[in-house]
Parts: sequence; C-alpha cells; structure tokens
Amino acid sequence: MLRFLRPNISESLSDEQLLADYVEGEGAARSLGLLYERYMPMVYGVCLQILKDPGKAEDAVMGIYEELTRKAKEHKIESFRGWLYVLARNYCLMEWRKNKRRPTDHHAPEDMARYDAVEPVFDYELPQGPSALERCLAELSEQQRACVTWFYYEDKSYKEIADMMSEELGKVRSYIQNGKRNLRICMEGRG
Amino acid sequence: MATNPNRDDERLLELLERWHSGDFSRADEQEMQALANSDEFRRDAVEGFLSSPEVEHQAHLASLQKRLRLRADKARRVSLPKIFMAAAATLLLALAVVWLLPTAKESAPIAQKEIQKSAENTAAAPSAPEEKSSEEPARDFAVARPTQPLSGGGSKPMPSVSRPAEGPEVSSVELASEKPPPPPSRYEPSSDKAVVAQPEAVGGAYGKVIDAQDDVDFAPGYAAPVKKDSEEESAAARAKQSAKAKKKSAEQPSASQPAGGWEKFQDYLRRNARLPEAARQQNVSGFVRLRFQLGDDSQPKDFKILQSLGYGCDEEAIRLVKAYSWQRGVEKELDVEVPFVR
Repeated sequence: MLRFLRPNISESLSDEQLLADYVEGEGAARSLGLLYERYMPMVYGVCLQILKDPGKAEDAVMGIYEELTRKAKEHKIESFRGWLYVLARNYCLMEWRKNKRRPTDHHAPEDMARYDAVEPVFDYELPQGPSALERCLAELSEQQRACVTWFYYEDKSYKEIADMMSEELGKVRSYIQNGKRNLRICMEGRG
Repeated sequence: MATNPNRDDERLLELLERWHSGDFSRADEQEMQALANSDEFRRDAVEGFLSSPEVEHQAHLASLQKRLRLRADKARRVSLPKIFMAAAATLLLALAVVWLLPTAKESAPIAQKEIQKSAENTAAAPSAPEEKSSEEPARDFAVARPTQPLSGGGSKPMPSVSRPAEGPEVSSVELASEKPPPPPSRYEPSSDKAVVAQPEAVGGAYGKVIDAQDDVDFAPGYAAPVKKDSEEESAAARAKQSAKAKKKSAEQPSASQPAGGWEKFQDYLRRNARLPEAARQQNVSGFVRLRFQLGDDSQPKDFKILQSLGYGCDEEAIRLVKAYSWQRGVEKELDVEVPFVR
C-alpha cells in the first residue's frame, strides 16, 4: 500500500533538536529538510485549502520551505509546529491575494464557511418517517444519494462503493462530499 | 494538551492516506473529523484535502518529497548570489533581445551584436574581437550557421519563444544566458573562435538536448528555471516548467498535442496508468517524465527518460504514450509527465 509521507516520528530526533541543529549546529539544510518533511503533507493540505489548486499548493509548499530556511535563523521559535502553521497560512493568504483576479474570487479563504470537517448530521440509521433528513436525501442527485446511503447507512468503504458503481474513487469521494454538503445546507435551511 | 500532537498528526496522515486509497469507511471518517476538530493545523489540512476529492494527491506529495530532498541537497553547496544576480540580469537582457528582434533570418548579425552587448554587461570589458566580428556581417552570418541547429534543441528558455522562425535570436538567448564567468573568457580570443566556441559551451550546459538538431523546431519552453537558478539544475523546477509549457503550447495555434487535447490525455493517463508489479511492491509512486519526438506521421518516437521512476514504470509510461494518438503541430518534440499512483 502506497504511503502518504508521514512524519518519521520513529526517528529519534525531536522537532526542537532538528531545528536547533539547523540554526546552530552543523547539520544545516539536511536537518531542516527532515523536520519540514514531517509536516509537509499537512502544510500541503493547508495550502490546498487556501489556494485550491494542487499545482499552486505544491509551489507554495516549496516557497514556504524557502521562507523557513531564512526565518528559522532570524527568529527564536518556541513551538515549531504552531509557528509553521502560522507561516504556512500567511504565505498562502498572500499568494492568494496576489493571484486574485477573477470576480468569483471575492471571498477570502478564511471567510468561507467550513463545511467539510464538521460532524455529519447522520446517526447511521435511515430516517423512517417523513423527516427533514429524508426529504433532503430525496433532493440529492442520484449518485450523491447512492454514495451517501451506502457510505453512511450501509457502512461501505469508498473502494466498495466505487466498485459497485463502476466509478472512479475520486468521483465517489466527490459525490459523498458534495452530498454531505447539500444535505447540511438543506437541513439548515429547514431547521 | 496531554496528547502528543505529532502522534495525532501521524494518525491523521494514516487516515488521509486511506481516504485517498479508498480503504475508508464511516468510522474512519468520524475519527478523521475528530482529529481535525481538535487542532486547527489538522483541521485546515483536512479541509484542503477534502476540498479536492478527485485529485491524485499521492503524486503531488511524492513530487514534493523529491523536490524537497533535491533542495535540501542543493543548499549544502555554496550559494553564489552574485553570479545568480548576474545570470538573472543576463536573462532579462536576453528576454529583451527575443522580444525586440524581428523573426527574419537576416537578423543574425543583430544577434551577434546582442551577444556582444550581453557579454559587455557581464564581462569586465568588451574585447576588441567582438567589435570586429560585428563589422563583418557576412562572415558572422556564415559563422553563425553552426549555432542554428543548436536552437532546435536549445530553444528551451521560455515557452513564448516556441515559434519556428526565431532561430538565430534564440541561439543568442542561449549564449547570453550562460553563466557569466565562463562566457566572457570565450569572447576574448579571435572572433572566429569566439562564435564557434559558443556551441560547445551551450552544448555542455544543455547536454543531450542539443542532439535534437534536425529542424529549427522548438520544444515547449523547458529550461527557464535552469537559467534562473543557474547554479542549480532542479529537475523538479523543470517539471513545473514543462507542465506550464505544455499548457502554453496547447494555447498556441497548431501546437503539437495529444489528440483531443491535454485534458483528455491526462484523463486517459489517470485511467490507464497502472503500476507494474515490481513498482507496487516497492511502494513506488510519482511521475515519469519523458521526452519524445513526433514523426511526420505524428507517431511518438525517440523516447528519452527525463525523470525515471524505475521498476518498469518508465517502460509503462512509454507504452501509454505510444498507444495514444498525437497531432503534430509546430513542435516536433514534446515533454510529458505520466503520474503513477497506487
């Protein structure tokens, strides 16, 4: 199974040790690179959240690394993880503002409501009677409804759903995501 | 917090991996959301992935790891800020040259003058032989011929240069944007040597690329980052450029492209790129970048692997490209990235 690039916590050195090595010691770029690699998937995720485009997110991850190489030596960093989070966000927000051109990009990423990471509205049992949830389910597209039903009410995995529908995994994820979002909007509208 | 954020981060990445690979059910989602909600860094990261459910994030992360390691390695070498600035200045000048010059062949003498101008900028002092060569246009033109084939391969500098007629100008761009310290010394000997020496210098820097000598055709702009970061040859930066260049070449009229366009081709790759068994066992993933020529019959041939994944992926990438239909336009040579993900 192919891995995401997880932080190598099993490696002995702590964040602080690697950082100190970079700032003061001989390890230099190598240590900082190792340290950054630990957080890289999460930094990538943060960049994705703001910039939306994976290519831009990739470039931002590298740009943040560049900034890191300078700032790590200039500032005294107490908690690397928290500091990195702020650095990453600020960098991406600046990039986003730089590239903001189209009228649809009016809303700053930080203003947009966060729907996806919030708890779902399901209690894993299909509503029996005429309830808001049932009505909202009925309003979904066929694919969204199928995916949502299989995933939440029949406890199928993405892979299984993709096989059943002869659909691509990415599409299944998309249907579930959008289905969830539409359900939430619908429920909040009626609630 | 009592819990170690790094351990939770690790768990989150495990879950994100499963989210991506499909081995993911509602309980996993619940756990992932709990982890996301308990920390803002994790929450934003999860939001990011969830907002692009159809993207092959694995490939991007693999590419990032490569880029990062390359970068961390590079940083060990002494950085040469002055040379970098000089190279950037030369590059800007070369850009001006390309923009301003007409596309006719007769501008070769002008190209020679531009070379001298840029040499003056970067060299300590212009040498007499340079002046001499500009006063002998016929001779220069004749001497300039050998450099023309170079532009076939070496026109890489910028995507916008992908126009067939700009042979000599581009070769001057080539020459002008060499690393400043070496070029000045090449201008010092006699004018003959000065001009003829250029091909070797360029050849050295651009290696096999110069082999594509048949026509004054242009591949999509490729080596721009190589010029900007003249002390680095970041393959990853080139990958970015070739991706952008692919887009640019598609926007221009009669550009070479896969039949139906690049988007369709990328869909085709996504659907059909299968990791060979050996690669799967080794947990390999990432991109294979290859360069190939389009023959007169628009068939891909003369493949060159620019970035290899090994374990049979390169061969698979070639097979995929060969199996597809291509339209040959202006460029004879194309670079393509084939992602392999699990």
